Amino acid sequence: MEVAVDIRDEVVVVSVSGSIDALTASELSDRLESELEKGRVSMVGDLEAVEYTSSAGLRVLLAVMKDARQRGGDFRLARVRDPVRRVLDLSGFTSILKIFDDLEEAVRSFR
Amino acid sequence: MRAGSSAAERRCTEEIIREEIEHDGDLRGLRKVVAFVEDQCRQNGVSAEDRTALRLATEEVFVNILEHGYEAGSGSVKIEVQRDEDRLRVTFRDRGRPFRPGDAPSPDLDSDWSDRRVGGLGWHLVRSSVDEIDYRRDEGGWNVLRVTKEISRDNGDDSDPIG
Repeated sequence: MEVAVDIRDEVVVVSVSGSIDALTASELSDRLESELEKGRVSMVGDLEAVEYTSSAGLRVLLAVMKDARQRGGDFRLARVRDPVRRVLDLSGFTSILKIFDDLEEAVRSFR
Repeated sequence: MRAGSSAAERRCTEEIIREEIEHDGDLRGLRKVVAFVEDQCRQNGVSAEDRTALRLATEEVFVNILEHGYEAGSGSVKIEVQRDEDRLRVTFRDRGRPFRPGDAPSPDLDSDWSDRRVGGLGWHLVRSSVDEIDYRRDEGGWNVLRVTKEISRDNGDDSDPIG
């Protein structure tokens, strides 16, 4: 798994690639939480290059979303691929996380 | 800590293929175990969607054994993959604390975001990914957990890989 962070219009875009599993989830958590700690609470997770997540990844997505919202921001997702979307659906995440097909649309949604 | 060891063994009958890998160590062996199951899926022509479902079930069961079954987060887990016609079975054997899948707490799938419990989805994902889950504790003190999935094949190739 690789994580790249970019700031666009004061929105943190976190691009993830590879698999989010029990071995990589903590690194993703650290990267996302460190942005929140800096006060950057408007975040988009670009999951275009993520082909797999397990419950370890779900735990991170939910914890970061809750933390961001409690700080007055949000953590939204963009370009979620089918295998990952299926896991989000199964877990009831699609009803509480905001998910966008388009990355720019996800960034603009914070304006 | 001993690194995960791999001693693959192949036993063939006319109808059933079995492959086994033995893990002894901590969570860092996850990749090797997942690669083994995925490789077996590929060799049996399992479709990409079913392969991902079996990868997910494998990770969740394996992590659960190491994190909750073994106190030190490390121990022995034997993983066997068996194809029986259109079913793929993955059997996990470990010597940790007994854990019946039915004892897993119900997942929280519909609370509001602020009340939604973080975690507790692993078994829910296993149940959602496979068709059957059997558990027994054998006489030798091993937990034997088996997941079975009806599989669809890639490219409709039904040729018998043994023949």
